[in-house]
Amino acid sequence: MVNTDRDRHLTTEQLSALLDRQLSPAEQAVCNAHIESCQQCQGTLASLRQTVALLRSMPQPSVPRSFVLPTGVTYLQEPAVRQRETDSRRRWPNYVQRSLRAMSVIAAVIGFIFLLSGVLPLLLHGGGGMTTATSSTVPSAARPNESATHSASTLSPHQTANGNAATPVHTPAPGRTPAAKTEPNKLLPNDHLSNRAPPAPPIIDLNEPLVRQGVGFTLLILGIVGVIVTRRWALRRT
Amino acid sequence: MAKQMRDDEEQLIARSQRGDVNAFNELILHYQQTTYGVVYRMIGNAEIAADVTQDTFIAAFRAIQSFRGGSSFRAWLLRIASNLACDHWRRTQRHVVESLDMLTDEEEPHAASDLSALVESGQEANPEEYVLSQELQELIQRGLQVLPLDQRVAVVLCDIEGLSYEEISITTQSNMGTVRSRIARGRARLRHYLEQYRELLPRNYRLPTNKE
Repeated sequence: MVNTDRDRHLTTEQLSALLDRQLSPAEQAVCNAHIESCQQCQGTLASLRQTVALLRSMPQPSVPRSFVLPTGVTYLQEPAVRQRETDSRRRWPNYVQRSLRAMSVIAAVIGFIFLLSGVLPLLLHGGGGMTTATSSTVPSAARPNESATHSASTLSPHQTANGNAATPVHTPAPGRTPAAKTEPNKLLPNDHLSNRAPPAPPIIDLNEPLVRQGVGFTLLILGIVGVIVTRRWALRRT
Repeated sequence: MAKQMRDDEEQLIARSQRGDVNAFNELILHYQQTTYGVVYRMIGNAEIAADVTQDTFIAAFRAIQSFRGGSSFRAWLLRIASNLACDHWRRTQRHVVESLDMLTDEEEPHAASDLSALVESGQEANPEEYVLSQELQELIQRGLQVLPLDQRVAVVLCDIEGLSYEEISITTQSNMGTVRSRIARGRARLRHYLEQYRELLPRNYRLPTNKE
C-alpha cells in the first residue's frame, strides 16, 4: 500500500495543496516521501512554487480614485428579510402551482371515471325504461328506480347524494314514484316500470354508483376549477 | 489591536445597516484597495475595474442588511466584487478576447528582444520574491485572463490577495475541495501559459522540462 502510494506521481492538486500546507498530516507525509525520490514531481513542485511566487510578487495596482459614496444621495437599501421573502415567494407558488395543477387533473380524471362508472351500469340496464324527457335527468331518474328495486336498506344515500332524487318525490312522473316511497321492498311488485327496466346483475352494489356519481361529479368540478385557477395564476405571472 | 479593529468594523457595519453612508464610507476606505485589486486582476483594465469597484460598493451598501455579523465582511464584499467582475467579463468576453489576441501578436517580437532587462533584481536575496518588470507583469496579467472565471477568482484571491482557503470558500460559496482544485488547476494552467514565454521569466524560474 505504502509502496504504491510512493510510486504514484503526485497530482497537481496534491502539489498545489502541499505548497499551501493544506494537506492532512498523513497525506503530507506520503507526498513528501514520494517527492524525495521523484525528480519529476520535484520539478513540477518547483515550477508550481515559482508560479505562485510570481503571482505573489505582482504589485498591488494603485487605486485610481476614491470610491466613497457621495453623502447627499439617498440609497435605497434592500431589507434582508424582504429579499428572502420575494425569493421564497417566487419559488413557492411554482411548486404549489405545479402540484395543485397535477392534483386538479388527477381529481378531474378520477371524478370522470367515478361518474362514468356510476352512470354506465344505469345506462346499460336502466336507461331504456325512462320516460323522462331530458337526457340529463336520465341517470338521476334511473338510479332511484334501480336502487329501489334492488337495495332494501340503503335508500337514503341517493337522496342525500343527489338533490335530483328529492325533487321527483312529488312529481307524478311514473319513473320517479318508486324513489319517493320509503318502503323499497314493496316497490318491486308495485312498480310498473320494473318490467321495462331489467334488474342489474346482483354483483353490482346499486348504491355504489350513486355515491360514485356524486363524488365523481364533485371531483370533476373541483378538478376543472383547480386547473382553471392554476392556469390563471401562471398567466398572471408571465 | 486586531480585536479593536474588528469591533470598530462591526460598529461601522451596524451603522451602515441603519443607512449611515458616512460609516459605510469608512469601510470603503478600508477595503477599496483589496476590492479594486481583485477586480483589476480579474479584468485587467483599470477604467473598467474602477467602474466595477464603484458598482460593488453601491451594491454592497444597498444589500448590507443581508450581511450577517460574525462572518467575514471582506469575504462578503469580495463575493459581490468578483460576481460583478465575472458578470462584466461574460458580457464583454468576445470583445476582450479579440483585443487580447491583437495584443499578443503585436508584442511578441519586441518582447523577446530585451529579456535580460525584464528581471531586475532581488533574486539572490530572496529567490521566492521577484521584482517584476512591467512586461512580465503584463504577461502574468494576460495569463490570469486566459484562466476560466472560477479558477481565475480562486487564484487571484489566493495568490494575489492572500486569502485563506476558508475565506475563499466563503467568498465563492463553494466547498474546500472545490477551492483546492480550482486553485491547483488555475496555477497549473498559468504555469503552462508562462512556459510559452520562458525568455521573459526570471532566470532561476525552473520548469520541469529544464530539469535533468
